[in-house]
Amino acid sequence: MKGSRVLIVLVALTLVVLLNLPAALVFRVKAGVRDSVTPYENVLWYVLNRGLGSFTFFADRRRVRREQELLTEVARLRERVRELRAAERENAALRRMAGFARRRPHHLVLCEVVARGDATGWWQTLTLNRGAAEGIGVDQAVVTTNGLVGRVASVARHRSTVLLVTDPSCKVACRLPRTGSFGIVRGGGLTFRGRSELEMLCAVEPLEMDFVRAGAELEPGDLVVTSGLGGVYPEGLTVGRVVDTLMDASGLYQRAGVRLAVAPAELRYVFVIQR
Amino acid sequence: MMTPVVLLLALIGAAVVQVLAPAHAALGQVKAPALLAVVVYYALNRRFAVTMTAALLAGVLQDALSLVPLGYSSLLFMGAGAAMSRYREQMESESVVTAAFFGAATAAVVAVLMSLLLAHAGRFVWRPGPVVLRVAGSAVLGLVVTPAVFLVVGGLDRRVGNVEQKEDVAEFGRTDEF
Repeated sequence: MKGSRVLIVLVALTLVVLLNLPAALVFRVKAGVRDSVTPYENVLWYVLNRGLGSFTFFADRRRVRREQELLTEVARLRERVRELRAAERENAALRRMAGFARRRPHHLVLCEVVARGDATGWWQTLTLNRGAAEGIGVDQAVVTTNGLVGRVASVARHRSTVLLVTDPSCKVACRLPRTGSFGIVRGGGLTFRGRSELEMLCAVEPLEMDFVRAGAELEPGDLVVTSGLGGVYPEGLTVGRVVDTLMDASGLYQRAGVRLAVAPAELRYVFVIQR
Repeated sequence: MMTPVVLLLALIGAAVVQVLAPAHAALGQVKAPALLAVVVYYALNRRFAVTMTAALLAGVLQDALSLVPLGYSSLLFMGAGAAMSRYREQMESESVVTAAFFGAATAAVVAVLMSLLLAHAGRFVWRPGPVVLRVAGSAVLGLVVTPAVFLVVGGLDRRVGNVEQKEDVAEFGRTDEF
């Protein structure tokens, strides 16, 4: 009976300590716990994804590796093209500026999606099979060959969690290249309409772009790219295309619905842009 | 003696299942509350101290595997565990109906409280529609998952001798050894 009381007091004290831990320690505790679960997660994931199709997996292993290499190469080239386009646009202005720092090419890390949604489902996330050991850090942008996916929200040694751009709590500083106007894009969340699949987060609302200059002439189909402001997302990553616009009730700025360029439900491999 | 081992196995198994199990948009994208189901199992079958330990560890695991701030899930799980422990004597804890009922009710309440906590902390955009859907989804999944967890963890407990077979339990009551 005395042992029970001691245990209860210890548990209560631990809870108080956990709730008041400094951010750096929270990060380490979470990463440690996550790393300790990862091996078991890997086993089940392997059984579910590879074990059941082991015959085809072993036969196609070389092809899969080749496809991964090609995918990496395509992404690297697209990233290079994006950088060149951004450089071209900025070149005239930058040439005149003193202390111009040459843009450093980004390094892309190919990651496989091992789970969709975190353990709670409160956020729209992806779990990737790479983490801090592979150089991935918090707030690095995650992309596919089609465009922006989200940003890294938490990292363990061999796992990382990506907050998708479709989540309402994810905000991205964006630009419309045709008009040159800026805005903030945030996720629209889930919808009760439309297609809904077992692998969740498929039926998503269009993204919402706020604070677009009132005088900007937006048209459906306009490309939306990252502006590079804010420091998380590099400039020029494709986010999506405008589907509709309306003036905010205040009359000070416009809002636009943006259809995401990538298909979250079909993501199998993504790239993390290392800075 | 084997209780900590079974508890650890149950928590790790539940955590892995909870992470890897797909969620459905029609259920508010909620993941199957397997960790909470383990807490419900211990609350209805073991003494208070064990329940609190299970709740603390389950919460830490859930928070580590998600973007929830550390300690939030533990707090809610411990609250839920304490509430269930209080009323467990009036329940037939071996019954599937009891497991399903407590699983659904606890998952729904925890979902409501978690949404409020996260919104208060500025981690979650609180919208009534998705939250209602999420609470309903949690209840449905809790209804389904909790009896399954009772079956697996209960079977494991009986196999290692933590609790007597069903007929013995009826005669001697619960085993409160940690």
